[in-house]
Amino acid sequence: MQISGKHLAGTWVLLIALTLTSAGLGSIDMPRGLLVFLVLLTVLIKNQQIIDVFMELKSAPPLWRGLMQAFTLFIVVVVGITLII
Amino acid sequence: MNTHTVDQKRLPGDLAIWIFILAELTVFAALFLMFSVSKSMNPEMFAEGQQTLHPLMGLINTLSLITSSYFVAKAVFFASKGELKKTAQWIWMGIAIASIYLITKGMEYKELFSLGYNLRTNLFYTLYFFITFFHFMHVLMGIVILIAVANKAKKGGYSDDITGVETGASYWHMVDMVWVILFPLIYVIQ
Repeated sequence: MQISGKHLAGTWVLLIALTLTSAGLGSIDMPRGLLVFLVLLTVLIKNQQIIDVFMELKSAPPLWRGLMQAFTLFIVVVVGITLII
Repeated sequence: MNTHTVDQKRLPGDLAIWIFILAELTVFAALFLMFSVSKSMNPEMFAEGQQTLHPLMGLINTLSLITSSYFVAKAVFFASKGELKKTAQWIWMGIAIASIYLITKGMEYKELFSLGYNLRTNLFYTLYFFITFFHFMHVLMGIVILIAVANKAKKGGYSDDITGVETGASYWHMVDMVWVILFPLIYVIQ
């Protein structure tokens, strides 16, 4: 796998955009369930990018990438269920 | 050339740091669950507590840690090309940006303490201070690691093997990952 400087910069821009989106969602009046879903979706995407691009785990043994992905997915799902119910 | 090659199926950095990262993430996972369960059981207390926090400070902290993580990823990129002076420069820039987080968090703690809030105020503040300070200590530890890596890189210490740079960077990205979850949990979702 080759990670270019442009790829790193693009990932950074995406992470910043998702962070601003997430912060903006908090100030919009919307159903709580939808807010929790959308905000946690941005968390999932952001951590996926950090794992694959910044940590360079996309080219690592699947077990390690899978463990890191599982952490984020587990947290997002459980926190999401807890906050929505 | 603006790219670098990574060996197929190679774990970046030292194996020990990944075991350590998984152990750390397990602890943070327990804390996140504790916070969200407590929040669902005490919605009014947590809503009132969250009103005393500054979402803008949380946002600034998130932007600084993400940018710092990007700079450290750039440092690894240059290390893989053998450009160790640039590696050190990017790490120092990452540390400088991360210090914004330390200052902002310190200001936030100072304001809350001056308003009379502390660990014993109620469950919200107990968890807020405990979790964010636990993360704060990880940021401090990450900065110490990055300073050591930057100094060694400046002296040409990673000319043969960049495992040390990757190891320090991996820990730093873990700190970033944790904050990416903490920010919405504490500041955004009310």
